[in-house]
Amino acid sequence: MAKYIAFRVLATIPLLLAIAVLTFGISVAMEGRGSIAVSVCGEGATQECVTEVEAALGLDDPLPTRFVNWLGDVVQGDLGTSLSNRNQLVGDLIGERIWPTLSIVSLSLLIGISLGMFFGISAAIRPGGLLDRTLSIVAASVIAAPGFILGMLLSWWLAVRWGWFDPVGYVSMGESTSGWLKSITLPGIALALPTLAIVQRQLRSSMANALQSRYVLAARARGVRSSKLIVSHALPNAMIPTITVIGFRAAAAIGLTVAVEVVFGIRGMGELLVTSIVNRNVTVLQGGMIVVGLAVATVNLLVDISYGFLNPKVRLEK
Amino acid sequence: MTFAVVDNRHTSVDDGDGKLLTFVNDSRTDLKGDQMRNSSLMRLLAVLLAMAMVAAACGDGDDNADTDNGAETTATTAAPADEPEDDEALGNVEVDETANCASEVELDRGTYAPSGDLQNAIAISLGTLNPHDEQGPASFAYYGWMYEGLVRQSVEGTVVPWLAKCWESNEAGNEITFFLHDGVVFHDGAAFNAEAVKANIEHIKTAGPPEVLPPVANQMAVVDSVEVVDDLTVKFNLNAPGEALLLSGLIRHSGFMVSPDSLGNAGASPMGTSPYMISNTSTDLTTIELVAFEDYWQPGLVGLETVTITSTGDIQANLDGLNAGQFDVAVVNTAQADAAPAVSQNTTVRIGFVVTDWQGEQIPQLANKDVRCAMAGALNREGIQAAGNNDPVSAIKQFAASPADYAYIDDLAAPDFDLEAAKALFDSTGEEPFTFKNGHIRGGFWPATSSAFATALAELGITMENEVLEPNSAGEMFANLAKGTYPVQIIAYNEPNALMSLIARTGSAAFNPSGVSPDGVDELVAAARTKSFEDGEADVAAAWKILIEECIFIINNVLTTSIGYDPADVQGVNHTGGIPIAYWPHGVTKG
Repeated sequence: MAKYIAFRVLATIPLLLAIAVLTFGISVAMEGRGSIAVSVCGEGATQECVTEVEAALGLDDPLPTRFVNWLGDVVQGDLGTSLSNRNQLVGDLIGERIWPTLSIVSLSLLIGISLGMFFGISAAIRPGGLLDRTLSIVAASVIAAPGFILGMLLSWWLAVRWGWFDPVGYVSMGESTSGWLKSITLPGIALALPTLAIVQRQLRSSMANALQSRYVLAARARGVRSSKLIVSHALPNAMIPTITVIGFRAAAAIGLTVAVEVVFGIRGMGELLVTSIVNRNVTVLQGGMIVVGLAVATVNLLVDISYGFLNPKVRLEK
Repeated sequence: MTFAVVDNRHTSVDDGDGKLLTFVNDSRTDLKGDQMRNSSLMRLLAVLLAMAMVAAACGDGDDNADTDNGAETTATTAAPADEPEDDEALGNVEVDETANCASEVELDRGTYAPSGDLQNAIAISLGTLNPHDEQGPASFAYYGWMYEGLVRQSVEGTVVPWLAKCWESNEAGNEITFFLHDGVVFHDGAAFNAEAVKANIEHIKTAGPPEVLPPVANQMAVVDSVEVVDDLTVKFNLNAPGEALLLSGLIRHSGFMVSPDSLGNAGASPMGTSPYMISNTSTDLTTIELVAFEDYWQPGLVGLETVTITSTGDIQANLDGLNAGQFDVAVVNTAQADAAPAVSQNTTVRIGFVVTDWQGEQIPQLANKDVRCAMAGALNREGIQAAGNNDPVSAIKQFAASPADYAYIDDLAAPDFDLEAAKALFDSTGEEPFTFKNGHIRGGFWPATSSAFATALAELGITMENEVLEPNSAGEMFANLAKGTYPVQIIAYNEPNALMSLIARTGSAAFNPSGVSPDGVDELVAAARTKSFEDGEADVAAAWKILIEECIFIINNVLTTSIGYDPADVQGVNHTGGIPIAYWPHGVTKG
């Protein structure tokens, strides 16, 4: 297994390099000669200031040189300073913004995966039953409704109308644990519902198949208890396609937080990336993309490793 | 329910049943009723709008634009009010509006007794704590809590003294002397005096970007030198007569006084003289915490112990937070004002088109007044407002939105919207249809208004091609106006004496590349420059009249912005005239 994990980790390096190239390429494509300097020098920038900034940022260097220099800094953890405010280190900015996003995404995955699995298994036990049909309709509705609409409804009822939660903003865990939970619950649920529905449908389908497979019938004939049958025999096999879906959802959730952050007035990574695009704040955009890329690569790695745990054939092949 | 400004002091309210109610305005509103009405729909629309913005942002580029022009300033309805007119009852601040040193009023500075924590929500964010490195007027919603100037804009939108007790002008109008209040100190303990004023103005004129934006430096272009007369008296020597030009600059970012030790470093060390000083900020300035400044020179105006300004990034989130009690004060969308417990509203930004090429250097047809007036007659101002879900009353043909406003023109003969008459007038000129470009800021009302005008002009066979300014900023807009880059350009402006401010920004009253002014304008402007704001009003109105009747300025509408609050919780929130989404914090109390 260790060999398999090591192989998967090594296989991630080209992916990270591709992310770096893509990040740098997109930033270069959008920066536009002159506008990056104007961002630094301010409105009506003088030519002297533009020239000075271009030289300081190395914009006159060939692209490969710029890429190598930039990547070297990134590897050392130096993401530079924000172009719109030279007092802001990009690392600090991301460090501040990543916690709300991580909190929301983590909670959403926790809720989405655990409840999705519970409902998926419940529905699969009696395919075509009332619970199965009800869950199918609910899941289809949830998948059809974008997370931000669900977020708005939750915010309206639970926060504005009933006052159970704060409708806006993020409270850090260091500030108040209960405040933190209150601030991430609604956005977490809003983001979790589509994940929950997708995981439920996927697991229901694969679990129903697994429960009808010969090895399960054989086990059942041997008198294996239903609970053991489900957890030990059917679930590991049914989880393999579900894990793939969860991996996709985890990666997508990072991107989907933008809308949820807007609805709940949370300044997270999604909002930071959008703002950096709007303001052509190239250094912040690069830093944000690298961090998000790393997060997605990590999720992919975890999914791959989990395949190895769930399916011995996979790790033997490697 | 719809609202309409009748004039600066009165607002009519259509209660939805056809009854028209009129209130004394006084720039305040207390809208009771079903606070949550239509909220779900509004939330949906707001988020769809946000998604559209995200999509737009991902499509292309740059928008570090004038921040008052995004989601914040949306509708053009305005303020009903049923609150008492007594300023003191609302924690408002009394000032000597005459600015006449002979009638100096001794201030009752009051007693220091701050109380309570104010949670204040704004949708836009601030790029820097250095007020000289920012020019969007909406940033006053932040800077107003941290900095003060010699003068400022009142709730009514006029210029009133603040750190200066009063000012005097010599007969020639080129030496303006300010007499400063004593006992004023900066947050770092440094004394505010004539030397500090001199240091600030000289820094603004010489530091250059990135410490001082060129448009901010241009606000002081009329200043030749600053002279310390004594500790509390400072004289501005101007390079030409121009009290109004100077005051127009001093009420903007160039007027914010920063402690001399922080000049050039105010982004990291923001030291003003205001009632509140910064205690903490998030790295990206989306959260700014302030505490009461116990050495404030008017202790009675420090009403709060602590203040938190949160940038939510979403105006709908502001409203939700306000209604849930999470925020005490929040900038809200004017179209949703009835969903807030109460709002303070004010007219802030005027929007119009300038025919910069009225000499016909790029487009010869534009030299023909009848062509320009046909273009003005094709502009369906009220239709544009209605299409934007705004009240048609906000459609205006002159800078002043009401007779009570500065330089209102009673007998203006600008073309009304009449498409057939406009077509006939254009046809009568015998000029060929033509094509030109207009540059506008991305987002907000800019593209929609530009597009509406282009559609109107198409009826005359004229093609107006709209493009986004690059860089996308108000500074670039005025720079292009000064250069006459575009034969016709949309602009927005919000100073009380807008004509003088535009002249200050663009360098002359010509508004065209060749520097030629319409007959009579130069003389009127020169006369206004030698006079005070009040005395020069008739000259300014006369100059405006010429520019508008010559169809060089084609003014379209005025925006109203709104600040929501719960009157049972917060007192003294009065939207400042002419400055979007801002209110002065002095005298604001809670509880």
